[in-house]
Amino acid sequence: MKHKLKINRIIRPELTVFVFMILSLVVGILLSPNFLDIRFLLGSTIFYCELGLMAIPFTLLLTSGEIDLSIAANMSLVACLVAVLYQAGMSMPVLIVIGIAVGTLLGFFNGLLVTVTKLPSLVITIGIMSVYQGFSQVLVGDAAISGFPEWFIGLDQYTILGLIPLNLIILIVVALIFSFLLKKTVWGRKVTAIGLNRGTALYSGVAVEKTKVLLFTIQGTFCAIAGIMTMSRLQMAKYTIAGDGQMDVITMVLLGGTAFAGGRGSVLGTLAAFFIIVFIRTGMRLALLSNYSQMAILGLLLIVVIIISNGLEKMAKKYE
Amino acid sequence: MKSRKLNLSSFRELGVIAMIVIIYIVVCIIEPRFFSTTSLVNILLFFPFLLIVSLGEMIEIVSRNVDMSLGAILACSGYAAGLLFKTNSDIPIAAAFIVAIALGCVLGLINGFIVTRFQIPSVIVTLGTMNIYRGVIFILGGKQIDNSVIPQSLMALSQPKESIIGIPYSVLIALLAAVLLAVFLKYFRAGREIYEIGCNPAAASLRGISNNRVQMFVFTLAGGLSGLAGMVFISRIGYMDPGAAGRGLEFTAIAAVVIGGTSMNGGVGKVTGTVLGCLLLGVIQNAISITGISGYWQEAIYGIIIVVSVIIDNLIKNRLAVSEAR
Amino acid sequence: MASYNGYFLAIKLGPIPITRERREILEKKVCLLSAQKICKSFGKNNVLKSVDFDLEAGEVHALIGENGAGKSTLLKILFGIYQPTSGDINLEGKTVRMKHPVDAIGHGIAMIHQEPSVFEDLSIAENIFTGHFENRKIKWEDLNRKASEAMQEVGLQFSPARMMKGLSVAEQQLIEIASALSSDAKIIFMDEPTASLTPGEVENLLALIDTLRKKGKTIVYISHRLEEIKAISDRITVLRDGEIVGTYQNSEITKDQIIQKMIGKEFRSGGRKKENKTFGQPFLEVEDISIPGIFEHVSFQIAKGEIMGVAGLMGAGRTEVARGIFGITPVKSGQIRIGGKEVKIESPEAAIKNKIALVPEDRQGLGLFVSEPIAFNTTFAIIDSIKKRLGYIDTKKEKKISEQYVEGLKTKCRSVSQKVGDLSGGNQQKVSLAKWISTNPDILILDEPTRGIDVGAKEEVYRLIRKLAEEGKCIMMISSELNEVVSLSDKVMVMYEGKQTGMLAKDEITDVRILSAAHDCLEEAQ
Repeated sequence: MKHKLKINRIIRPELTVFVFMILSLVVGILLSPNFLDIRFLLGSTIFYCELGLMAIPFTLLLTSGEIDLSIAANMSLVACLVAVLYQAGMSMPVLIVIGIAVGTLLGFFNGLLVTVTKLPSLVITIGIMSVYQGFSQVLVGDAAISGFPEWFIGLDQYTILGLIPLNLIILIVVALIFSFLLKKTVWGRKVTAIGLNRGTALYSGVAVEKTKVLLFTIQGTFCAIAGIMTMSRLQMAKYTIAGDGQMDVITMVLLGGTAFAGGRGSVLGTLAAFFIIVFIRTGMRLALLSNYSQMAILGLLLIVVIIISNGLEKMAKKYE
Repeated sequence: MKSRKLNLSSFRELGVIAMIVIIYIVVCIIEPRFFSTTSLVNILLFFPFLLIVSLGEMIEIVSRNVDMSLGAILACSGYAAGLLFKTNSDIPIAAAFIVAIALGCVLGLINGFIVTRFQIPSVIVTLGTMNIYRGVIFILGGKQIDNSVIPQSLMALSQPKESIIGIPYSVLIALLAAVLLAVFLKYFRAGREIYEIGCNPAAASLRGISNNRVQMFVFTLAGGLSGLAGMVFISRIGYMDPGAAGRGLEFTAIAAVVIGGTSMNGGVGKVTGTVLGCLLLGVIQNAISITGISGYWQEAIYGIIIVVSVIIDNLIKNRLAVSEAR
Repeated sequence: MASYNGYFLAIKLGPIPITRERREILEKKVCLLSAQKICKSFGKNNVLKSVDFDLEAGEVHALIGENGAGKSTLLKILFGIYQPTSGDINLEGKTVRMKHPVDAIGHGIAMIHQEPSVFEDLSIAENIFTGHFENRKIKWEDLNRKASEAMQEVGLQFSPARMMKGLSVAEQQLIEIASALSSDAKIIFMDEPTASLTPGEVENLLALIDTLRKKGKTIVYISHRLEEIKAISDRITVLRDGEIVGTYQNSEITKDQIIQKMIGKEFRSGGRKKENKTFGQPFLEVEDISIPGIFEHVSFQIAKGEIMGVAGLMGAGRTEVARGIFGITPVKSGQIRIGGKEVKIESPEAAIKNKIALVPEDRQGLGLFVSEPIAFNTTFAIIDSIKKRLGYIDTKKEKKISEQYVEGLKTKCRSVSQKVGDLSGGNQQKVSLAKWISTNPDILILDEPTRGIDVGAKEEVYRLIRKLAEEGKCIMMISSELNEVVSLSDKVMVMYEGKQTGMLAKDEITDVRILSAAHDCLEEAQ
């Protein structure tokens, strides 16, 4: 029995993603000697840190059985709003606070809409995505607003020990905190329970709706932070600043072993998936593959990883 | 009770029609130019490829799936047809249509295979294949197909002048597809099976209907329709940019389908509703451009209408449940 | 609902007489369908152990046995839903394999499932013909006409174009039977078709079954209600623990004998001595609570140590009252007082703060997280009390508490890290009870605490309920098992269609009075 227990412990949904992470690193090294340059490798994470940051609370949201497709739209709306207000003469430190508040509010609004109407969040947030995206277009049109103060731009250029970018540190710290919250605390267990079985959670006295609203709100906060960080990195803001970021985030979270239907989530898995995406994207960039080809490979990876982890889960069941 | 029920369920479509009429009248008052055949044709021209993709999305949603890859399939098929024209300018349009539709079917079938074989939610699978399909175009070259390559006869399909009855042929193609699909869904066993597995997959299985087979069929059909939409897209736009073509179209299609009264829980949905949903989006789009509201508002207004109509739909459903309980 | 309707039928329906023509058919004893040495196991759980079963043309063959005896499993194997681990199925002398329901349907078998499996959003006509449309192309006019005819056979008169949604369970079941008839099925399996029907509906169904057998259909009928079985069947097969105890002619065996064979030991009345206990001040006082349209004007009081049974038919509003008190759908008017103090309970959190616990009927859907370990489930309702700093869960404490309850309630499991879904129904119920007892409630609401668990586990649950009452808890027990209500309760509240139709004191608790109140005819009975 002990032997079986061990196998169960090893075969976990997250396992696949860690294997793939190492695999992608190895392939990267084979493709390009640059991959052995740790500074280069860490430096290349900065392009994805904002997405990674959104993927962390997204992991919890998905674990609770909800989804928010409007995250990238929220991110650009905050960026555009801050930029427009800055042009109008407000001071940047105040605007950072306002921006984060607005993003939080937008997330809160999403949560309210989902819990009050009791509609699938997939549907509601498709609509919301258009609304937010639309408002950013209304705010800035096709323009790219720049000319931010010196201190504000280039957050990504800061490094610790001249090696690890500040953004990456922020991401890892946030990931560790959320991983602890999800796996080890009462609150995290409640989040998982809601995703496992909403009815039982409700009957057990979990404030299901409040928890969900809170998760959407946290998601909103992190969208705003990601938006402002992206502005700082790109030194400008326009309505396409977040692109189809929600797709990358969903890919990251699912790749990391979080169940689409909720009830099972791993923040560390998401973090590992973040590195996979960085390695693969960087590797492919070095191999001069176009953005679209990179997307294709990531899409393929998403499907393959889920097939494999589903297979592993079945195997683990058999061993029980 | 019966009459009230009928009223409420038909109210769904009446609501969409009423909104179309109201917006149309209001815009006509604000901007008399809107009241013209040109603007009507413009409204109609907006919707052929959206309608065709929406039809595919509708049957997917009816069968409890969501397809995020339809826009990418549109791009793939359109691009393949474009390549065909590029290599041989004499190729008949019909052949290009066949190639595009066949390719769409194959890509849809791949979706269906992965979903049914590995039992992964369709949203995830199609999120992946969306990227794969679009990526494949670029791996195969991925340069824009220019206007010069597209045969005039294909572009003529989207020109009102070229049509004998004044309505562009592409609109007629879309409507024909809608009518054929409606007939298929209502009068053919295979069509009914889509509703049956969407309504209650377990019961359908007990009655001997293979959920997997029907789902594969639905994905293939939706893919084929997107292939057709790819051709209509080229004929309307006049060139093919594989990166931008059909990007985000899935979301608009889902919106049109949901506005048209199809339930995200599966088993419920009508072709007429989807046509009306597309028409409503077309009217709004044209109203925005003609009233001089900044085009930037378009997306925001779309979004608000989607959210509002989804909420209204839900309210009606709840009302219906209450009236039935009494 | 098991017992209530049955008792009524016993009063109203005698056995249906067998006509001479039918007797002739039956006497030929043509074996239509037979199963030999059927074994079925799920994992390590042997559900069927070498079962032989044969079905003669034209008969109504009843299958009876305790929950978990394997009745449904046997039918599901014969219908191709499950595959037997070993054994053969013969149809009219030929060995057949039922790989899928399609095969069974193809062989002229139809099955009416316990829960109607219908398409709510589709029309009645489509519900009848799905699975056996004649052609690829559908002629709706023809189909609607045929659907009307099929409905006539089962005594329904709806428009065939009407949506299925909004039909009662009984009507949906009749539509399923109409569907079976329209598919020209020779053999019809019915798996507890009367489980959620009202007495009138049950009578209609039995009459319909009689008509069907007169037409020469062969029927297998599963039910828990002996009265129905005695009234309708030609032969009766008793199953126990996955084995056939025997097959008997209906006329050869009495109800008591059937019960004996089902249980395998002497039939016990199961009651405890009716001692007159006195209780102190009422602790939970519920006054005139209502949720308009669901239940209205419900009032009762329970003292510490008292067990109040709540009886009534399915849909009488009993569960809704419990949900109201527990704050899941808060009551709209009326007062709830606990220990003399008025409380407002707007959510389950508030209920738990007021030391109320509700063990819901639907274990898998509302009571437990089946994919999670026993420890996770046992401590979930008190999770807030086993956290350390920063909300960190004390897993050692979690394990210890869970082990205590496993031991205390004699839950059979390998360890507390075993998934709840792998346990048997009775052991799952113990985990569900443990989860709520661990909150140390003053008021414990139990909704169908013995639904779907075996006899042994039932006894243990009864003992536990009595013990909890002795410890001074207020207990409100909703139950559809009449003998359970009679033997455990200190008083019984009876509900009928959302109204409180009776409040019986200890010395008034009898089967007849409960049943009369459950059908809102208490005065008649008196």
